[in-house]
Amino acid sequence: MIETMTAFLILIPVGLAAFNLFVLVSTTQINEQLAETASRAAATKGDQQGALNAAQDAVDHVATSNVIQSAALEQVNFDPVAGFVNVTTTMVVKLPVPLPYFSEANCRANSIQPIVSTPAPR
Amino acid sequence: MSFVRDYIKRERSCVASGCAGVRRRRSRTGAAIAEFGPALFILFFFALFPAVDLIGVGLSYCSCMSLVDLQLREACKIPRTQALDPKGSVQMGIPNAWRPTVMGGASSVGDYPVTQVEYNPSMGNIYVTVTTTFYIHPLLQIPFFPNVPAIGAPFVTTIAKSRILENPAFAAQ
Repeated sequence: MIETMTAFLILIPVGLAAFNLFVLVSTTQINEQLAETASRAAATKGDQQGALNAAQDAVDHVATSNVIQSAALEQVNFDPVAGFVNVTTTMVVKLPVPLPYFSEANCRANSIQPIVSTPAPR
Repeated sequence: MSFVRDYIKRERSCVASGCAGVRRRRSRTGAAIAEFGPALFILFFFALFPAVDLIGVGLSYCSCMSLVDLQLREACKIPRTQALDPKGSVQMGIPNAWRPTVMGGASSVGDYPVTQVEYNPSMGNIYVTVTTTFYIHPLLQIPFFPNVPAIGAPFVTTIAKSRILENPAFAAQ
């Protein structure tokens, strides 16, 4: 019985850490997709302000929860000369099993999309 | 015969140090083997099997997310009528193609996944949202947790993802 209890003492923290890792990876992927959607929305606009508004609108669609505390737009760089729009989003993730000195994680994702609002040069 | 002499020497030293009594007491009462069964029972049914179930549900969830990704990727490229068709590629074709694959087969999704497709215009863009509900059965049904999702009962999860419609004209077609 002592051996079993000792095994539990080892297995339970490992299981909780694995669950934290799963949530962290999953939310990171959600943030990556959010950055892609925001940049795709910004790419349909014709200027910096329009791109900023469209990207912000995409970020506002994210449903927050106990795990995803907040999502925000960090940077929108609309470059018509290069023909690309670059969007960076951040997401604050609260781990379901808070660890000492590590209860929240700040995820950052970046996405670049070609601008589709202007005709391509011939 | 040297190993016999070594054995006798070890036994004598053990008697002198007092450890011989301990060894004899464990072997006579069989305490170690009596604890082995209950310890294994607790370890298996309350640690190992639930861990296997949770790992299985995690893998199934990842597989379901990949299916929703595929459905969304298709839905944002085809006209609205095709995406809303219950026998179309989004709601039937892709799930049918997903189930026999390694990812679909490894996931223990029991019933057929139920899919809904919605269109939401916002800021000049049209967002396509694909919402799919899955019934994930546990790999090992543990009788001691009859109503606990993912361990003793099916784990019902709904995954929703959004993306911008590639061609806005498709929203009216």
